Amino acid sequence: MTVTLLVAGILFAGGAGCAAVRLVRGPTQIDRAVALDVLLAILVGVIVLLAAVSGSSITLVIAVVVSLLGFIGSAGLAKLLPRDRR
Amino acid sequence: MSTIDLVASIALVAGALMSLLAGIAVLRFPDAMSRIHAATKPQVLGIMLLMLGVGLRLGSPAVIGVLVLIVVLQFVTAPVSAHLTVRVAYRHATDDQNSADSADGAAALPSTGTDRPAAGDAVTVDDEPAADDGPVQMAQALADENALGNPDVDPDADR
Repeated sequence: MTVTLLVAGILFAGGAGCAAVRLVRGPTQIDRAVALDVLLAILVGVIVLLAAVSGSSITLVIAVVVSLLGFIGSAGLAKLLPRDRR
Repeated sequence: MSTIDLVASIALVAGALMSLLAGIAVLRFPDAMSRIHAATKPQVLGIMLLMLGVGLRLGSPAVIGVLVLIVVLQFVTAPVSAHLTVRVAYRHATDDQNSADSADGAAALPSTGTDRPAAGDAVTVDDEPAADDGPVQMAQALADENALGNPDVDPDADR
């Protein structure tokens, strides 16, 4: 499980780094919203990975909340984005 | 390490690999819509693989209930949020193509900061026939643009 934690952690860190770069230099606000969505999905994955490695299921509730929060944030951004363009 | 732990580790690493692929795709893809297309993969397939790994690793019924709840929530909400985002991206793309014909649209285009090659190509292609057109064709193009633009604006005003 230590090897799993190391390999999956490196993969998650690479994905989060790429998404963070896109979040900083997104040409449009839509790209930033997409990068934030990917970052939240990676955050859910990290929480779940820590729960799997440590063997405790307490942090899975946080994963539920974060996945719902990602949907609310993405839908809210999609509603708000056309206003500041026109 | 037993066989179940091995399968759980493979599932966890595969889910993490989905996240890495989505991150690289979001960084490297040229267009907003292709980025959204790639960004939906870890939200559905990656989360499903990770939940499979955690379910195999922990294995108690309460944990599996929470995991199924997370997977069902992602299955319901990820296509909806991706659809909403793609709709906004599609409207912005069509706005760029429509406003590239008129002069103020071409002036407003660099201020939006789009460095996509598709938008730049559309501007250069659309500018050349506009310089050759006479006033009649220009008026016709403006009328077409207004007729095209109005159904695009009206659902927005309703919301």
